[in-house]
Amino acid sequence: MADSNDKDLPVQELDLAASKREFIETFFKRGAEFTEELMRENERLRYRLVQVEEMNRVLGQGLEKDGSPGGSAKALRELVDRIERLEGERSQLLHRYEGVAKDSADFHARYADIERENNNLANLYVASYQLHSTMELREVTQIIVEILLNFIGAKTFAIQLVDEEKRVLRTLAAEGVARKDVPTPSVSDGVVGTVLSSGKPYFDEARFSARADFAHPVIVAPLCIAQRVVGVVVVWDLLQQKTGLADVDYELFNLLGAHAAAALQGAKLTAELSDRPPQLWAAVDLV
Amino acid sequence: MPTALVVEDSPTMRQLIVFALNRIRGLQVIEADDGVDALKKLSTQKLDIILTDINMPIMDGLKLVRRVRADEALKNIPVIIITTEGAEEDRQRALALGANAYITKPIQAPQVIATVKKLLNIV
Repeated sequence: MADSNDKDLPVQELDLAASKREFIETFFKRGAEFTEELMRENERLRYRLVQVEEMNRVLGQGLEKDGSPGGSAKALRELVDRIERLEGERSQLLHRYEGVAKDSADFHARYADIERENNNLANLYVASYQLHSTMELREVTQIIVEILLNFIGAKTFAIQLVDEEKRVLRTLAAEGVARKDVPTPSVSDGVVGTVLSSGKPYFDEARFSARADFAHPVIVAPLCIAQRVVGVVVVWDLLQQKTGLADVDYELFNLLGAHAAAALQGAKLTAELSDRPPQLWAAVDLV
Repeated sequence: MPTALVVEDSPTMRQLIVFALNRIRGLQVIEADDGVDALKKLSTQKLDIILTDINMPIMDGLKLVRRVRADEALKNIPVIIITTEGAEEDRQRALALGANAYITKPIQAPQVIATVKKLLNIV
């Protein structure tokens, strides 16, 4: 706005006064704008402060369950205690887990042992059952052959009985070799002679994987009746997939040693009485 | 209830295999002496798996596998060969004929049981 005195001032002075006024007006206008801006910012910050205080209050309420002074610190201690308790429980659980894992491994090992034992007993049961399932000499012989072939895994072998008159071994049956080709040594010859005299089986474990050599049997097992050795099973080699003997195989040789000869003897006696079938009840008078 | 057919000429061996199979809960087992006897039984009843020896009189195990695979009604029945023949070429020949598994004697019951369970999808 122009002052009335401006009329009396020269033009140059008039321009200076107008610029001064304009400057002052602009200065105050900008100052007002800045003040407004500061007030808005102040308002915004106050609102933010209220928000933060409200959040703090809510969090504080969560920690101060009982509302007592210093509740936050107490809640914090409780939390730390709880974490320590949980850590302890975790450690105990880990310890128990390790124990359970060890027990589980033990059970697995025991299960495997029992499974193996069960398998072995099944083999022995079936072998024994079959051995005494017939009084037919040919069938008893065949069963002994099958036990040696299918249960033990012998490939080339013979069942030989002692001819006590000629003091030689005679071949009852053979597998993997023709019966006529089976060596029939004297009862005092070599490994067979040793087994016949000692009654103890012979196992040449180092040669289980070797090819058949009739001069060197890998197994010679005695066949006994009441402690008397009446024959032998001679094995020259095992099946290709059979590289060694398992516990059950040794047990099967023991079983054959104790039962095979008796089964053969019973079958032979029955055959000799073929025209006079044995009457079991007559045994009553013999006891 | 699945049914297994055990084809084996040796009664001793047959009993041992049956003994092992009887440990599979719910599995019925029937027996045949040779391939011809097996085919007779296959024609009269529904069987789910065959376990057969190779060396048998009248009809051997390999002929039996051939006949089973050539028969439209039987061709999908799983066959397990159980034999003393341990050579790799024997195994390959049996598998080429259509056998599903090949087990060598002397058998281990757990192996027989596991193979049958696998082929019959028994858990």
